[in-house]
Amino acid sequence: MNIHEEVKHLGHYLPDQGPIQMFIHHNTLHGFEGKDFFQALKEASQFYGAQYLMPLSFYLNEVKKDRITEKELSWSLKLHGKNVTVINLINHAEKLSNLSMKENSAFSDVHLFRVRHYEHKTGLSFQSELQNLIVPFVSAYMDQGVSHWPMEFSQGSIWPAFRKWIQLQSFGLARKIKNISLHESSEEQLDLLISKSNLDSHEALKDWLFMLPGWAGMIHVFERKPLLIPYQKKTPIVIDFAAIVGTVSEAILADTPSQASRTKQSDAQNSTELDDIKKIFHLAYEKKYIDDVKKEFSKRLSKTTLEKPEYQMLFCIDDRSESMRRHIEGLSTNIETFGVAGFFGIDMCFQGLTSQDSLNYCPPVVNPKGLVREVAREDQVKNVTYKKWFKRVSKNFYNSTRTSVIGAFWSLGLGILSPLSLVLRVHFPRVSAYLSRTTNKLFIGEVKTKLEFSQLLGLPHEEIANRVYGLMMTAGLRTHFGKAIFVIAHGSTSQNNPHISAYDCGACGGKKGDPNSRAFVIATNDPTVREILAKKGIHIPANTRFIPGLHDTCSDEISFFDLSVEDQTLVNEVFPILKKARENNANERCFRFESAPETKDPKLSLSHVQSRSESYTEPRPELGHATNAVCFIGQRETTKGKFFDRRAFLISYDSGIDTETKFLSGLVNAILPVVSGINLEYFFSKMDNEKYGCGTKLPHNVMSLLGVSNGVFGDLRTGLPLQMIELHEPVRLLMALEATEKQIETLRINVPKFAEYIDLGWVLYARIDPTTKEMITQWN
Amino acid sequence: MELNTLFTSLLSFNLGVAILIGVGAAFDLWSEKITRSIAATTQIALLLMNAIIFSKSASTEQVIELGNLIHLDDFHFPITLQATFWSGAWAILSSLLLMIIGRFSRDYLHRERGYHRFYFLMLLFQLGVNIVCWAGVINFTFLGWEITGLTSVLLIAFFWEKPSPLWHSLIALTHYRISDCGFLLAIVFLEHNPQLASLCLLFAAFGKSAQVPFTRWLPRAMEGPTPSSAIFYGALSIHTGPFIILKYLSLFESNPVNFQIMIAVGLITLVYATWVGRVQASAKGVLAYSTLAQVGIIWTEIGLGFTNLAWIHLLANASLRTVQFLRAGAIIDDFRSARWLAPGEEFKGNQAFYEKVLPEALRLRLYVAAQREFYLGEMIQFLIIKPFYFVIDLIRKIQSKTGGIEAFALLGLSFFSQIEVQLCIWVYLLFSALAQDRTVFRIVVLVMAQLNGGIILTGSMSYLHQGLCSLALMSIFFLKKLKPEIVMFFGLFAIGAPLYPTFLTTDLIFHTLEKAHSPYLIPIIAIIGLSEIVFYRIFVDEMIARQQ
Repeated sequence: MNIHEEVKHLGHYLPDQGPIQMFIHHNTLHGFEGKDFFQALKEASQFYGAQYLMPLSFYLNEVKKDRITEKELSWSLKLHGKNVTVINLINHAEKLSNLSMKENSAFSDVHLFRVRHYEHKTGLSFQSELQNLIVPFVSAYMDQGVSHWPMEFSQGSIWPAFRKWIQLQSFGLARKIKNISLHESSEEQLDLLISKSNLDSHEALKDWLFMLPGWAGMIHVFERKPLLIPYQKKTPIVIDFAAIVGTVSEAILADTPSQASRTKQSDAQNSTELDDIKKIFHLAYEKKYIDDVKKEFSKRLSKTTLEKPEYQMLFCIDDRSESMRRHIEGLSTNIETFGVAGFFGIDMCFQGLTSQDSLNYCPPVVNPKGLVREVAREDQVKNVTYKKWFKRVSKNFYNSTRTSVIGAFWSLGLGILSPLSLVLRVHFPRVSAYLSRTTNKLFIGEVKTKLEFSQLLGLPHEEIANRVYGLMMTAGLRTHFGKAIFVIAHGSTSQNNPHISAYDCGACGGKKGDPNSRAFVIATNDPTVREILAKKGIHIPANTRFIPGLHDTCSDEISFFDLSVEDQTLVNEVFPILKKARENNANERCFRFESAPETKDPKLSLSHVQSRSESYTEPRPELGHATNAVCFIGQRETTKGKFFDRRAFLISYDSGIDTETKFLSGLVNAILPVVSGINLEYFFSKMDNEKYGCGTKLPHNVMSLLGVSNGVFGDLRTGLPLQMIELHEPVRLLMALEATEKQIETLRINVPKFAEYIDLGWVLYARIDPTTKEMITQWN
Repeated sequence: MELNTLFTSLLSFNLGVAILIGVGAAFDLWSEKITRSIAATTQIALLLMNAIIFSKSASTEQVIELGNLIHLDDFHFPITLQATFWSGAWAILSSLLLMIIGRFSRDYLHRERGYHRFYFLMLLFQLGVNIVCWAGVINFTFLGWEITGLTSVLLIAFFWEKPSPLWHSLIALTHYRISDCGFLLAIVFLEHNPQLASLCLLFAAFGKSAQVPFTRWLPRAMEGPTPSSAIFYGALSIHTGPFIILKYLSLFESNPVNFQIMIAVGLITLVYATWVGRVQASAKGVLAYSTLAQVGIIWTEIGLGFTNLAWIHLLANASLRTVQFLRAGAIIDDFRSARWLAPGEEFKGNQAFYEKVLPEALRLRLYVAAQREFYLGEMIQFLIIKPFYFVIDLIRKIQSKTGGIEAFALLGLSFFSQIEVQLCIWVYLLFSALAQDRTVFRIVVLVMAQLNGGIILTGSMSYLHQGLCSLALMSIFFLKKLKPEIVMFFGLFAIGAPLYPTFLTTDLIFHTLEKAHSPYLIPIIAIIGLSEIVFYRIFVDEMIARQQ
């Protein structure tokens, strides 16, 4: 293989997380897909030097808590063909868990040997030296607007910039690098470095790419998905970065001998045994939750819905909507809820009122065509200039407090007041939030906006109507429409939180979903669209109104948009129920927060979660998708009234009308990457939070507006922070589909990824029979 | 209430609570809730007490004798407190900021493994700050000064499950120790040579406030949790340098050179921090350098004689930077919601930088130099670390022949030698401690080195020194078996023990040497500093080895 192919191959294993302001959950081990799940995990643990499953002590602890019982363990032992008693297994596991195992390393033996030699000889740390040189350079090159003096030669790719950067220096390491060589092309440079080193090209390139995997991954994303670059377009390529790291690493290690010392693999025997035992425990761990889900699912409840409810609500499939829907339905039999992907079938490029660029508001696999812009309403234009003036001042303030001379005046002038603002923010977050809302209203005002587009949302009416039709048919919303259909997207508000986007709607590309719900409503309220729908067989009564809304999953606020006078009355009609549901939902959520007040008063709970979203001190504004475990695709009837503890993605699907399995295929195609991405990212970030996740949030420092690192000289950290995955149970997603066997067969053919995930065990599978409503799982 | 009662209760209350939480942390005695309630109550009480002291004493500037910490023959270590208007204001502001940080950390560090340890170190730090604020003599100030430095290092190493915080805490400790030598010398020379003393004190203060050439530790200190970065490097620790000078300004007034140096160093740091700060691409990096630039300006203000302005600037800058550090994470949201973009306006970044007036060749070189911190790291490596490890390499070569026997021989020789030879042997032993590969041998050699140090001192001092050092050094043996919180105590003790002579008994050392103007004082102080660095290095290596 030549270097290009080699780098391309290794690139698959780099972290695929984009810039942090558009956090989209994805399978952390995407490079290992296409292999059996456990095999992939094992290979990945060797490749990255990471953990394989959870540590044994974790499982043993779960045994103590009865989260794993004897029943599951003996089932799992039988599955593995082991003839051991459960007691023996546990005893043996306890013994093994006390043994300290040598950790895998991601690097080649030659490299490790040289690093040891270097550190012994110079008393310095190799990794620190490497980062000291590369991180200031690469963070400035990639910078999206933090630095006051941006790099001037960052237009081309990163290797020419690096060459220039080195040529401008004449001391220390730079001189050493010049002595080694500084070829014009990165490939030749790599060729030369590899021939010098004692390694084959694969090993050498792997060492270099994974010395700073965070930055290498970000450059890889920039190279392949330039659309994700948030503010300033750059065109780095990953092979250049490999050359940079290789050059610097060789320069640092220049004086070290490069013979390999074979490290002994004496632990190998023990470690395969350990891995097998871990797998036995893990399957038992998963089996238990599947059984629990089944038990809850098979509860028979009497039907409570009215034949013809007056209101419908569309929610996102998100696991956080599960409890909200449950509470709303519990409070009123007059409201019917549906779960559909949070972009409501409307994929679009959307440009918000205050953003400079249009962004994709759709699942990551979709490539949207229509362009929609948010503009101020005609009567609001004068407020916009007002806003402009205020914004300019506040931006100047932000930047100039950080400069030296003007900053001195700011710090002299404002500094004395800042303890006051600190006390307010830290001790009285709610008062402070109220004050800042008021000042914003005073100075900025609220600009009422509308959506602007050519044709209908940038597409012909037929196409939009088709999407609406697809969504309604899939969800089974085609007859008995009520007075109002609320289309409620979701997003999350929190302060001081670099990972804020990871809490938003994944189906909208890691953003708040209100533009999509507004767009969907424009489509469904459009007479032409309704006409086309009627021709296709969906008759929406003329007096049925669609109303867009947004559920804030952090503060449990629900807001509505673009309301006409009639809409407002309709909102007012359901408002009392929503208010109560919000309180109940907040109350339920508070059980999971250790620091929440122990109260049964839902009002207090609501106020608690609101303060979480307003507080600057809170690293856990909400818990995101933690504990997600199940995905139901089927009619709401089958899951209604059952308690899934905010662990289930609920997707409405009516298998009865889907004779060709067309809708199911489209549905699974769109949501599979979203739900499995969420589940697997949480799984792996929990499994090894240092390697696959980004560790604790506390020392995080935002770099180049692209990601977080520890301290000022750190590598970018990808994956989820410790605070998001603490409560997560690392189990694979159980996808339960309510469909006939024939439909599943067709689905497997139509969506090969689905078949692959199920067969290789990346996702677990269960079928719910549409007639008997019985759940049949893989493991019976 | 009498002022001295107030002072005594302030300090002893603070110390008592810190120890209480420390014990809780070490043995995991109670929940987060108890720690944070104790801390919150204490911090409110301390704020009130500081306010009362301020209101009672600010106008009088009276000096209060609280007695002696150590009294030996004709030597004593006096505890004297003095309240002035500005130091009182600083005391109030610092306890206010610490109270806010305490409240901030309550949620921020929730469920963190080192929760109690954080509060312990923060309260200990508060004790240090209080001592620095109110101390009336420079000896006593040094006690507070050392406490603030030590807690700062241990908070950088807060996440010691990872190597990089440990490395960076080592860098901070090294810079601190080197500048602390200046403080010790200032104490030594205070009576006999006040001019030299003031220069030494200046040196120490520059180190503490990360002025050129001590700047490198500051950006590297951002490895701890955000609230500790905010309070130490945005607010209190970094401003302690100019604070000390402002407080003891009378020491400097006799010599105008002092002020010229302050202006020069302040301006150099201002330029340095401005440029290095302008090329930083991370939120905390920009903040660290913008804080530093302001501290440079404060130094210049002191040098120019605008003392009151400098005081105000000190207080104001500390407050503003605390806010900015605490909300450093909000930068993503600030940009994402594009709060400052008017509709339709294009985001341009910061294109209008004023360096454009410079010719391109110079500008680009300056840019790169700023990114490389003006090659300070390279210079330090070339001038200090390389020679250091050259010697260590030499010792390794010697020992590969002798098998390490020569160390024992030298220790024996030391008993019968002149003080010059004893000092050389001390240094040799310290270096050979680092030359060893295994922690056990390193500690054995280090114990020998400290025993040798004990030989130089005389009398009861000598036994105390040897005994405590050996005991503390042995503690590292237990590192592997104990849980981190207890290890931390050992670690603290281990770092603190070679350092303890500098804590309380500096006077004693001089006493035992019976000549405060002895030419050996400077080397002895330097070697004590070196031994602390060597010790911490071994500690760091051991902690990193533990991770693998």
